[in-house]
Amino acid sequence: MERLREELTRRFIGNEEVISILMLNLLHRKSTTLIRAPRGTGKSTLMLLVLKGLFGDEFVVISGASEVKRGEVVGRLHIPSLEKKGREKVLWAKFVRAQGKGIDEANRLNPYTTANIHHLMQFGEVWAYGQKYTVEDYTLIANENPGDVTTFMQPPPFYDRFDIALYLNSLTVSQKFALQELNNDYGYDLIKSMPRVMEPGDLSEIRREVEETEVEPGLIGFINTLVRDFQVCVRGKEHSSVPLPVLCEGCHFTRFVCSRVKEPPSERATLILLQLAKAKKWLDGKVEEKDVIEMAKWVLIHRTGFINPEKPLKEISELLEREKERMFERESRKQWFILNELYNNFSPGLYRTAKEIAAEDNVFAEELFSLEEKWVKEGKISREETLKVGLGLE
Amino acid sequence: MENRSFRKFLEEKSANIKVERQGQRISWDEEVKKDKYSFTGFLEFAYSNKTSGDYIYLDRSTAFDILDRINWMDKKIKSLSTRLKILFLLLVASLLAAAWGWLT
Repeated sequence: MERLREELTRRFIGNEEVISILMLNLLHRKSTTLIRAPRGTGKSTLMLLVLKGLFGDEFVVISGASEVKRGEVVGRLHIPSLEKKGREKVLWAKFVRAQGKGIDEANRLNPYTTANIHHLMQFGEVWAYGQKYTVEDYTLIANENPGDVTTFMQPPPFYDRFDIALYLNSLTVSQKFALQELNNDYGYDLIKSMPRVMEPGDLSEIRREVEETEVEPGLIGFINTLVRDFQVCVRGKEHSSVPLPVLCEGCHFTRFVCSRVKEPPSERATLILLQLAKAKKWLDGKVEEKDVIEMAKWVLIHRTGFINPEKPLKEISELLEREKERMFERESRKQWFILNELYNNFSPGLYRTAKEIAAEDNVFAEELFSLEEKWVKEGKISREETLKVGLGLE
Repeated sequence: MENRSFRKFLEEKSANIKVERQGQRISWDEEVKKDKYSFTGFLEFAYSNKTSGDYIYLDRSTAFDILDRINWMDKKIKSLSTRLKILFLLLVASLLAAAWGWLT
């Protein structure tokens, strides 16, 4: 992996932060990456460099800008079998069989191709002429320019299937000089010069080891709490027809992240963050909470609908900065300790403290609600004294 | 169903917390948080976009100020609602007059 990083950074100028997370995302099974950038910023180059580094020439790229036929993406009928034996034999496309898959300009794919690729990513299989092909492990890298006038709008669940979305910046003056030098050195063909750094079985072995890597419960809790902060709404925005910010009016928790998130991220965000954390631990020997915050930027950005969607990178960075503060406050309040004590034994004094904390933390409040339900059933507290009633939610 | 991994997380978080137990009673020392954003003044809380500390304190004069403003707003709301009622009656009356004129 170090060799891959070296060869990549030798040929790809700028955007170092993006390379690190991209490397980590390659370390789990069925890895999918979306690169978003304006035209000419190197998104196709980055995609091709990674695919070439991992798979040599054994990868397949389809392009949304050209006419993609079903036979090239999924499969086509083997005509001689049909003519001679009357059998419908499917010749599966190289794209589904190859371990290295690339999609250039994903935002210009037609809906049929998108639907097939979406199904492949969701269920790990493709269908053609009533026959199924199960796709083994793969690495899929796609790119798109969100500013481009597209032929079709791709559905949000399609984007949700991408583990991470990376945003590239254009090059500074000194970086432009560096790129010109590189092009001179490599004869204006950076892709061709990229060597294959791995044997076919190496990546599978690495992914197996990463899968078996264990992460501490504290860090898993950090990941789950972070994603929950982006999802939670005590007023149930997930099933409400009232739009934000109207729904938030008068809510006790308006200064939290929840009030800036219109569409919360899917549960897939926690799974990907955990995989990335495992990959980081496997690669560097340790993974910390600050690493998770860094990774979260690329995991949440395309899965979250913001109230202010104009500058998504700025918005997500600001919200994650708030999260750092919030996690710090959680530690200072010792709230997980208090919840643990309450799980072990009901104590009126600790319950009062927990209610005060819950008024400052909606994620904690949710956990307290479920404990309260249990205590009400056991007759330890009355419904009237519960936090839910106190906050006017029942 | 008991959520084992969640309980494991809670136990790990609790393991390093130093508390004193005396029978049913649990106590611990609170650290004073000196964070750049953890201000506790009400005016900073009201007018700053930055995150505040957990507790916000009000001095007497700010509290009186707020009470004054609330009382002033109460009065203003009452006078505006009276004015609104009068305007509404005038509108109804002029509509009736217009309708009467149009019919006769």
